Amino acid sequence: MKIYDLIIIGAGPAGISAGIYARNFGLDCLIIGEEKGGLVNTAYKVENYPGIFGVSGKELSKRFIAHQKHLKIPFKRERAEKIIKTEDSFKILTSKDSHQAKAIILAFGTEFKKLDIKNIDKFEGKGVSYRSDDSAFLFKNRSVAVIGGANAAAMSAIKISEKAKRVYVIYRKEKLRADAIWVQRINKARNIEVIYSANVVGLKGKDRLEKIILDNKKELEISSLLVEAGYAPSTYLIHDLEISSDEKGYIKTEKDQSTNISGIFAAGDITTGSNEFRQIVTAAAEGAIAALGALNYILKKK
Amino acid sequence: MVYELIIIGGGPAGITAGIYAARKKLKTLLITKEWGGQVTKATEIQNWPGTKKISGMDLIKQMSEHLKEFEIEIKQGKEVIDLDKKDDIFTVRDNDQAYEAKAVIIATGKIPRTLNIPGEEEFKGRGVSFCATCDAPMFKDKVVAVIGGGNAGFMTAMDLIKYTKKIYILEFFPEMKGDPVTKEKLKKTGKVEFILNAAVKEIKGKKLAPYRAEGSGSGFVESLIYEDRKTSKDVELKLEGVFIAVGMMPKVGFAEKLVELNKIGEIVIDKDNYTKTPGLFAAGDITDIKYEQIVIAAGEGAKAVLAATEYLKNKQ
Repeated sequence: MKIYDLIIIGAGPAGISAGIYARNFGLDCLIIGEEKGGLVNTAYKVENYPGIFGVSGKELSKRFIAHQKHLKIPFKRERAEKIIKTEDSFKILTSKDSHQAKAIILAFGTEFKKLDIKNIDKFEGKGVSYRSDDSAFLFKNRSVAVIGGANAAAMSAIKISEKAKRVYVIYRKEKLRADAIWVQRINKARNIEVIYSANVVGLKGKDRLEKIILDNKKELEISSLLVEAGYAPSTYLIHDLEISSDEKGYIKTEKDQSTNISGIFAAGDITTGSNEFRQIVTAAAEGAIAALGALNYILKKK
Repeated sequence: MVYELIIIGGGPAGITAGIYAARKKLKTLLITKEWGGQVTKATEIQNWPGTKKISGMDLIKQMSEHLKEFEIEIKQGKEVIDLDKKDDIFTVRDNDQAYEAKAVIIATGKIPRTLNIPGEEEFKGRGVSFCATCDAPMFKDKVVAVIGGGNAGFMTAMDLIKYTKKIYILEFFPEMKGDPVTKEKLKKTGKVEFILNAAVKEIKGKKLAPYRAEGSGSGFVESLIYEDRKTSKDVELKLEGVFIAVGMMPKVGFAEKLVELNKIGEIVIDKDNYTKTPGLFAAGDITDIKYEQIVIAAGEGAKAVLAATEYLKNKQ
């Protein structure tokens, strides 16, 4: 089996940035991922990636992907399922194949957090969605509820409000957590109503979602519900190798993005890096650092 | 008026910090001598994620224009000469004004290292240059020297090769430290002469009568003197240009009393960009981070704002 210098798992900003650096330093590398671009694809607008102002998440993703293609960094659309440490390399079993590399960068990001509401699984795809880029939100003149109060929720609410008749933002706390610039926009929007200190406790509907019930007994008639309750790391890959993570499952990284396992680095939202800021630019920075870390690791081994 | 945050520096770290601070609606002032600094000297950048190829000039232009989309106060063309802290308030001084802030981010990057030899300062802009990408076309068909046989020196020579008649590359040590592949490329042109063990001592040029030329009263570079460290003899090279490429250095004098420096003069920070002084943060190449890359500096700028925001919140 071919042994790559480096395999990067994940194709969001961290993974692609790591690939760009690895490639420019002459490493033989491969990116494995299920979705190019990752969570960035779901962002309505990105205004804080320096030098590229006010693009949609999809457009920014396209630019990262174009960069990856331009540098001819090999990519395989596969799901990494298991990492096995061999004597001096790593074997990765995927949904379709297996690959081997001297070093690994974990950059598979986070997943949408699900909420524990009765029947929520039943209505998934029938009114309940976790992705703001879901086509359900493109329909005009509907009433939509968004659960959450951080940047992602605020951004999605603004985006949906451009089409919808009415948007309810339901947040469990008394004050939105989003950046001031988003809170201002929410307050300005005429068709957005923020319901503070509230939780969704029930979902009703015959076939599709029709109504949600809040813990203050209030009922809202809506046609779609977007859950923006934050993100959680996917931990399935790291258990077998005993890669150390914090209590929430984020991979612990050092200054050089190394993990507790020599030869395995991690970058982006999946890690505790960058003071847990989890921004596109910090993910890209961590990807670059991880690639440089992997390069030094490989050179030392030689 | 007291700002919540003052950012010193207008490179990738400072600009990114500015973007994040503005989006957090912090009352912010960004002071910078120039936009970009080191980055503007890169002919082509291929590793700014999301942009296949771009010149340093263009990248910095895009970044500074991005910054100006937001509400943020900018003082351009000003060099900070002093930073002090008293009772939780920082005072930032440039040549003509003082500003106050509750928190400060230093992101001033690095500047080219100087040789500190006679003639270097005097003939700057008159044959002595620190930037081949900026000045190369002015040396068409001329004989020049590049001081420094590392990668920076080699890249400088590569930028010059299509213009100049001849290039001497002078290295202090007994061997060239730059990448052998580039060395081979330079050799093949037949225009480059490598000189080892060369301790550069002086840059000479014609002195003009002070009343004829404004400023220093100097003409242009005419020769360079180095000592051959093997024979201890001085050698004079006739030439018209000297490009100095002996690395970069941090310039932290203005903040020295508030920060800890490592051996090479970089500001020591923890992984969340805190310096030893509460409320004072640093980001990018000026700090002791391991790798100096544009995207890494930008990430550091964002992180520094997160830290500053946390600091300001706790102070309330």
